Amino acid sequence: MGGFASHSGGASAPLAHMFGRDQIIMRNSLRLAIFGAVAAASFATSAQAATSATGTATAEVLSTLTVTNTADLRFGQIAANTGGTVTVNADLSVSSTGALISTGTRAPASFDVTGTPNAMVIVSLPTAAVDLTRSGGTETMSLSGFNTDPNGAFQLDGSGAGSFAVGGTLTVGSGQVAGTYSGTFSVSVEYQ
Amino acid sequence: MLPSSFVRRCGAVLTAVAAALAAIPAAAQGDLLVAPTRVVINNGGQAEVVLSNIGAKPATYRISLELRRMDESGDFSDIEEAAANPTERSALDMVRYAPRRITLLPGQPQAVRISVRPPAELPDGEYRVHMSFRAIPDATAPEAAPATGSETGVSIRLTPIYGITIPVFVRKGRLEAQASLANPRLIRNERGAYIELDMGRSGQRSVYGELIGKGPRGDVLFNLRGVAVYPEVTRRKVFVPLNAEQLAKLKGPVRIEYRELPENGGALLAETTANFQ
Repeated sequence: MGGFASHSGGASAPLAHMFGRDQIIMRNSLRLAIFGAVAAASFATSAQAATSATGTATAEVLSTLTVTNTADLRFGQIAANTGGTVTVNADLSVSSTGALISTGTRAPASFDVTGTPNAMVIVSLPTAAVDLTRSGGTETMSLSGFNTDPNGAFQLDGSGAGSFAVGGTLTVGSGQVAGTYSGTFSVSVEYQ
Repeated sequence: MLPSSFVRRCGAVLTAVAAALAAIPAAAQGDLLVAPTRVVINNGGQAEVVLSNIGAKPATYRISLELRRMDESGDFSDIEEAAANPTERSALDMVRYAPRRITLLPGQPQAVRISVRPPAELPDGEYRVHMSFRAIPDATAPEAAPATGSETGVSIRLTPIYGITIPVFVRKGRLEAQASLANPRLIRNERGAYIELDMGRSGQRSVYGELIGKGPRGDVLFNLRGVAVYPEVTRRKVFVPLNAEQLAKLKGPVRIEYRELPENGGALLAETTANFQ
């Protein structure tokens, strides 16, 4: 894959220039995610710059994967009463059981993914319940029933973009002590 | 396949990724980029994977090795280290990497070095770990509980610990593998329309590539990239999602090919034909 004109801009070349390279690469029909393309463009440039010093002249394309968190998993405000569950599903459906009252914004977490166009990626979630602990206390409540939308594996689109949502079910005890409960849950995007 | 010259070029890669980052909009803490997305090391050696902070704030990432098993439905399951079988144990033991914890400013990349030296007595075969890159959340001071107007008011603050997991393969010896495709069927349900098919694998290593559906004139009807069959299974199911446009074009005989990715040579691994409608 030679053919990249030599230039002296190197990695510090302005972005507009990078995008210029990007288009050149796309016309050469390498299938790349946009970030991959930009990286590859700059990479090719750098490799070319290195050429004059070392005499090696090929550039490889690296596939990249990015994950960004675009929204938090929110359960709103809950008045515990005698307890129950609040479910916020990844598909945006919301429900509750028991005598508790749940108000405010309830919405699943969402994530954006970029990678290789048309690639299949897998989202993995906790299988066990996770505990949330009250700020300034030791009381806990549990979050379980994690689910994603799309469910399990999904395909990035033709430009390498995709997104997914994560929901779960919160179990609130009878007379659960008032306060803010904090916890973490793990989400990972896997390539095969 | 990891290019052999990859390691030497790592400096170039780092600057390349740094340049790419400038184009990415700022986002939450812990956002990350990983490249490449799979690593193959033949008979030992070294490789590097670049991790970048593409979020708006400094973040600390932990890099760890995990185990996954593929099942016949094509799903992954998480395997605890204590439950590792001998092959998985060997993989964990021989894959070394550093650093294991990295703090990065927004836009800053760093390479994680991987080095593998398979023991001489290790049987030929493919060994695999999954390298996980995950942001460690801030030990944030407890937030004041919002006023709820209720004595039993409970509010929730959840922090996702999210990351990327890529497979690292170590192959020892000359390994062969064959793939097959069978029984493609069109399924329509509440999840939409998709083609389900059975993939078979034999030999001593995984197979990896893309599924391409072609119409009678060779036109590409669908393409699903990054499909593997791991050595722990001899067959798996795979689902190829179809949109309305793809579904409409699915007339007449469809040739389904399983090929290596173009960057790996694009060789045909298996094929089958089907008439869906």
